Amino acid sequence: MTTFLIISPLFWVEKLATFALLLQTVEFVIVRKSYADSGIWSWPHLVQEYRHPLLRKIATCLFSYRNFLVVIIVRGLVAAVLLFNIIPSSPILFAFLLLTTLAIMVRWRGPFNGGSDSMFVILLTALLINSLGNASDTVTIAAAWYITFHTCSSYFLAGVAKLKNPHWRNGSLLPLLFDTSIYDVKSIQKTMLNPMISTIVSWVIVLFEVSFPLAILKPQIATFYIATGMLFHLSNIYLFGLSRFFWVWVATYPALYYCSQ
Amino acid sequence: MRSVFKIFFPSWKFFDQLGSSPQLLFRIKSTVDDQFDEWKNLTTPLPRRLSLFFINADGNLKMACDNHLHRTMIQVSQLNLDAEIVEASVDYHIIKNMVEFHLKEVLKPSAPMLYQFKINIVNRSSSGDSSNESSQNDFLTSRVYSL
Repeated sequence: MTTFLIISPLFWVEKLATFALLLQTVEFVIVRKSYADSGIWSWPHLVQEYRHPLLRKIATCLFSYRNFLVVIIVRGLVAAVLLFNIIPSSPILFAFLLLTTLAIMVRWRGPFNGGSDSMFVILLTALLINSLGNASDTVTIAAAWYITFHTCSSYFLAGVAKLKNPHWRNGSLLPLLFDTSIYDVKSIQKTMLNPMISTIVSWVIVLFEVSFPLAILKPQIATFYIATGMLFHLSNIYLFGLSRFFWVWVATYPALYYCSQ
Repeated sequence: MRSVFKIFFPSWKFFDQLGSSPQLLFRIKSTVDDQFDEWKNLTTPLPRRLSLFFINADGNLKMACDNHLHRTMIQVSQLNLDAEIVEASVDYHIIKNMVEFHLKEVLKPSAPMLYQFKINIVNRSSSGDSSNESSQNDFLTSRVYSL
């Protein structure tokens, strides 16, 4: 595994990120009615925010329902091209993916899926920088560290924010989180109402997140944190439906492993 | 647009606080003279399937709607906006569209109907033991619309 990752530290980042992007494309196509003209984010309503005539014209070219659907599908095709090595990676392709990702957020007036969109932008920025570096080791290493910095800080800052909250420390906030789930998680919520269980689980989450930057010290430690992180995100899919977070964060792990060596 | 730029400077805070969260409710009636039904929650828990590990289109759409409601709630409360300004905003139209979208997609009405929606704020508090509590209050009630 070590040798494989040393050969190309961002190879698996690229494959996992483009795979995540393909999944996103399928999701966006499935929910296309929600951004059609009779949908929730309907362009005839959204366009009202663009007051300048020229800006309005440009935005309509990009964001009116049919054109936006084309953008999403082309973005998915570019991701497939990169995922299956149909043509070699190039800065143009990554710039396209990054710009269309940002365009999608403009259309949705902010992130569609919260922090996972932020991490996706970070991944695509790093892949773009890497592709601009003409296979230079220095640029590739810098891009890997850029991803690793954000991966570590995402867990660390999330952990610190929880640690500051007394309700996280005494475990009383954890059962309440289940009220925000898109699924019926009443039985798990009931289990978490046991103060001892919720306190232990809360501290396990907080300690995992706060200590995550230790992963960069050694490959063995990184492997432990990667495995735990995958379990953590899998449980978040099961409990809260946060599937995009799983794929995007997993895509950062090859860079983290590389930096731990 | 500002929230798009925030993407480059994420705060990386997930589930660290749990204060107030909005809940979108609706009620319907067939004609002006009818009585409205009871207020109902716009969304119900989604079924969980193994395939959602890869593709969770409805779940992510629901989360996007929840995020929009949450953002609107914060903006309206922070700016202390008048009802008229709120009703004219794109944010309000998106929420209205959520209700109409749900009514059309889920209830599939065969005849014209009237509907109204409201946003409740659910305040959750943890008391440190197992007796977590929540209270609700009305945040915004729409006028009556026809569909």
